[in-house]
Amino acid sequence: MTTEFYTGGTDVMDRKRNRTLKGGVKDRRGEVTSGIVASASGAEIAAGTTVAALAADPRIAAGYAGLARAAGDLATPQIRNQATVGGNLAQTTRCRYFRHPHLDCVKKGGAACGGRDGIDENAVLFDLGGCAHPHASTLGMAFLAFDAAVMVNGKKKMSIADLYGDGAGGTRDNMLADGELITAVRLPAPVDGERSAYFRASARSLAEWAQCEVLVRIAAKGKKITSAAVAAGAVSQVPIRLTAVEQALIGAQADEAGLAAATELAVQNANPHRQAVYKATLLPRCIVACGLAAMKG
Amino acid sequence: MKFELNGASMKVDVTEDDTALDLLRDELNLTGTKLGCGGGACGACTIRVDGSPMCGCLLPAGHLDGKKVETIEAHGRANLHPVQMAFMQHDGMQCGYCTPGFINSAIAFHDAWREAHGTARPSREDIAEGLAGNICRCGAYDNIYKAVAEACAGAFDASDTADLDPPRVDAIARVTGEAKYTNDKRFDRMQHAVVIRSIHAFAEVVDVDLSAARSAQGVSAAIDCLADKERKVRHVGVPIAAVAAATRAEAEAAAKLVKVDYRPLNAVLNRDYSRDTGDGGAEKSFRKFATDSAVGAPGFPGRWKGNQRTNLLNVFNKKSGKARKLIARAEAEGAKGLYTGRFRSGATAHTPLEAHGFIARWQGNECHMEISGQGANVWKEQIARKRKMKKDKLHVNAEYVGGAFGCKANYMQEASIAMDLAKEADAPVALFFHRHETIETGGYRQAVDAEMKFLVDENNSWKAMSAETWDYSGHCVDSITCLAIGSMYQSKNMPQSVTTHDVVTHHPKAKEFRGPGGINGQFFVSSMIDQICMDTGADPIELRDDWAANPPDHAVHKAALALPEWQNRAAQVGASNAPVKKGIGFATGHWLHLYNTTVSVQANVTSEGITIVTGAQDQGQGTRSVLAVAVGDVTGWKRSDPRIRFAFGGSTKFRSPKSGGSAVTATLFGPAVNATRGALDKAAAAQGLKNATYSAEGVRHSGGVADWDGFLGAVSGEFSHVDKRGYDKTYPKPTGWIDGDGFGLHFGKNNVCVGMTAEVEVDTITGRIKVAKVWSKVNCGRVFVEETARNQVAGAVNMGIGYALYEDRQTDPATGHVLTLNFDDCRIPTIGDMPEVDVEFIDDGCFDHTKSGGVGIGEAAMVPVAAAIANAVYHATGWRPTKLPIRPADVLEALGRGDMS
Repeated sequence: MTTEFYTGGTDVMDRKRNRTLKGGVKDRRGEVTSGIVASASGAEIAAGTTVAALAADPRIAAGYAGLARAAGDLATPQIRNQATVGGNLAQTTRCRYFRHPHLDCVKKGGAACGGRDGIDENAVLFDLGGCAHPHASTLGMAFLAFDAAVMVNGKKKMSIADLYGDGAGGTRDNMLADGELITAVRLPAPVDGERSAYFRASARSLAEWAQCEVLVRIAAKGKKITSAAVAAGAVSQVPIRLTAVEQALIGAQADEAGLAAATELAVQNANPHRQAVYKATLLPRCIVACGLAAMKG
Repeated sequence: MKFELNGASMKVDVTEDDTALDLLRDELNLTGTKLGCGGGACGACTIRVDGSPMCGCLLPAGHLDGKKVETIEAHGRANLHPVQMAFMQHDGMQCGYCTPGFINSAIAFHDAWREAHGTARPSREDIAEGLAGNICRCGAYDNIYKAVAEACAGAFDASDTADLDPPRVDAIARVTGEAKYTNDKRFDRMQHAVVIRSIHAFAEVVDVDLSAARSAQGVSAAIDCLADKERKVRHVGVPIAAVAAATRAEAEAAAKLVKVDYRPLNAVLNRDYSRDTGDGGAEKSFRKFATDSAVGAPGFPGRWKGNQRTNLLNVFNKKSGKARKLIARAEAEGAKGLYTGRFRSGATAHTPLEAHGFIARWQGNECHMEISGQGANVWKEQIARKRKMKKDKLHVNAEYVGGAFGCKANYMQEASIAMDLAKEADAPVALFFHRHETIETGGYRQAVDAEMKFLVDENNSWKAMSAETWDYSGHCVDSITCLAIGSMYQSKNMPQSVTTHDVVTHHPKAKEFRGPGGINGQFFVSSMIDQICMDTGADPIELRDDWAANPPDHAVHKAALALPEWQNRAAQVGASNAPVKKGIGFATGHWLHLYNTTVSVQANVTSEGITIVTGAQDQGQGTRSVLAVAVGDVTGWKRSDPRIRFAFGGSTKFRSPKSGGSAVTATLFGPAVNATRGALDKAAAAQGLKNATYSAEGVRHSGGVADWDGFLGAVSGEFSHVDKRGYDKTYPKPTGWIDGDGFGLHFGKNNVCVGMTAEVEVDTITGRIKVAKVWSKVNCGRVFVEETARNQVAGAVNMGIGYALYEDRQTDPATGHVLTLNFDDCRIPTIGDMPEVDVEFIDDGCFDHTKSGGVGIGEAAMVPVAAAIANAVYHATGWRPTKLPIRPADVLEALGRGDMS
């Protein structure tokens, strides 16, 4: 059994109390630093930076508005003050079957995913098999939109896409090897003139796990979109980029009609879990709302 | 590790397993910081670390190294922060269990706000974002908004405690963390218990091996607690064994060593299947074992078939044969005026912020219990009955209780388990529920399916109603949805037939939950009435008024009809094409006007003042304040007068009521007035004063007037009076009796009526429904303390919003395990979900016949909420919700199907 570790503790301490931690745990708060260094080539966020500090950083808000908003909208003020950026990226699934002491779950080493046949109203829209619950990391989705990379153990660089992999097998939350610790996140410089926004859908207005979350980056010249990135969270076992939508957006009109037309491609490859059919209606609407917010700046 | 705690430097040893909360509560005995959920989802444990709010339950204790930590104890009575004074003055609390955490978040918000914005007033949205990590299950959010906004605006900067007139007389104990709840209590050598619970929904327990646990470190007791003679468990969470050890960690470790050998049996878990077939599967004896009541009181005789029990009698049925005949004929003829509907309401957990808790201490053959319960005497009598003990050998106490809503009203086996462990350990034993346990077995409102049929004539006159419900209360019976529905429109001329089937399954047991049967019942009935009106163009309030057989309804309807927002509502349903559609809806809520006739109140007069003694409880309703008003009615004192004291929540020799069912105010007020007068009369007689009468000026007697200082100064010793009967001989006979506990719970003439109008916004992007504004018109007679009564109504609205839109207690279909084990899954409304609530109290004399002139409101105020919201959603979209909660997924699916304009 592997040893899990934590820096903020907001995920592990919960499971410790609930008797759902299987292996050992180790506090590695001392091995990560905090702080954000911004430069012309981008920004480096130390993994021990709290989510609250990321949300409040004026340089992040200026260059990566969608990221700042994503950090400020997730969880609660208390959790954002405690949780670290690295921990948010490497957190385990929030599926209730995983967190229940007596229920089966493939991520706990069980034979079957309890949620797949059971009740999980927040299941996946793009089902990659295995665990049927979407990835929990809002920041993972946001960093994916910004083509970020993580530094592992201070030296190995891994793109966010590689950090999560393709979700195959559906038994892992990330592709970090045993003992590997995220120590920093590197953000490339934003595209000239781009704007970004984050949009989160949930049942209650605040303090809730997203049912769908979207980050849109858009740059436009005149009335035409010249570059676009669209990432979505809470819809698949890993955070995803919607490349078909991105391609359709480039050259499209920078208005609601242009957005809506491109967004039709968002769910063309969806294979929703039976309890996530509603997300096929939800995701395109979230992208349009998010795109409009990005364009408004 | 060194850190600064409330201004003092501290040096402590911590382990990697310790959380900041463990350190504060268990090592440093600072119990103002509360344990709520243990998962960072409720904020009851909020402390400030270098000024930032954090959850103590998730914070490793070692991370406090070198930090500046502030807990609620930093702000005691002598050192109140303006935020605390604002909470007191604006009644930003009910049970108070979440209050210290809220205050810590609010202080952090306040300090940051002031630094950035000076004394500008923050908006509700600003405040909601700052306090989104704190949950108040009682729903005092509307007042919390006011308190925080006023504090930020500087209204309490120069205040002193003496300037305040808090509506809640015990507010200061709640805002300072002084109030000790059951799980804050500590006793010398106190042991901690952990219960080993069934992990199977239906199984035979072949063997329980306690030997390894018994010899584990720190263990002082280990017991087998299977109550069932056949040694079968019939739902998950049934106590099988329990251990007690010196620390919670040692008890947890020992619990893991208890070996339970199960023989799993085929459980009945599929509610649709069991409803449709009545198939009890491997369980051949539901009738024999499913005997507990879902509402804590025996219901009516029933007929069993398989796993279903159908009630054979409903006192509120009127001409039920005729009703069924008329409807059958209309169905056969396809008659106009016949409206039918099928509805489903979900299950919701009570999950009060303070989980269930028990501490047992034996002294010889007498047992002292601390119980987080809804009434010390009720628990005392029930435990005595279960254990065949003499009542006078039991002493039950709980000065403060952190929310209950029905789930702490009646005996639980865990009380007995704590007693048995304490006996074996020969030491006090604390059995505190984990949040998971409170949600799993601590009680929930049952899910209900309903089939509704209404028959009206061409003038929308009532011809007949039939309602059939299937209630999923788990492994128990006696759901009373039929009673609640039947009591809504009761008149001889309104034929109705209402029947409930208990569909018994191997799920944990439901319990009475605020307005049992009424909340879901009103959703079914009200949706039908609304549909009739929408189809015929009638005004839904006017039609209700035509049908109303309960006199208090008329004044409520009149007030609701006059509301400009109602008068100016869109004529068409689903009229808006905007992405956010607005709508308005109305529903009426009723609750029987209940009171106990066999209970007493004691008053003691000493030189210090007047102490009211009752074994009832104040879980946040404001009962202490109500009784302070009772003392004031006799003495002319203000309710906040420090001479009014309370001995509350301890079991008494005389009977005290259960604090629940909206019966407490009506029950206790009259006896408290009589007891106060009686005790004063005795004190006056001892001073030789004749013909004494009392008022603000003092005691007037045959020889003159003694002011209060003089009168009390001359009191030597204590003069007590126990008033045995608040409802004196002039009080009209009760119209009915519905009590199972022998506490004499009756209902009297006229039902409490609350009309609620809700304005909603349906967001067609996210599917989210926001309740934007609520107006509650309340006809309950005299209102004793307007602020706490208003808080009760707003709290009921908040709880109703959770029921209507978010909360859904889900169980795994394959195993019967509960999935929604914490607040993030239970989806209790947060402060951001709370609308402005406009409360108008109406007293048109409908309760003048009661001795106190006023009756309870806690249940009635919640009854119409889900119904009004559902009707408003229909008005906004043209799509009628038939399921609760109305989730974003339901809205999005309706949009996807094109059901919504």
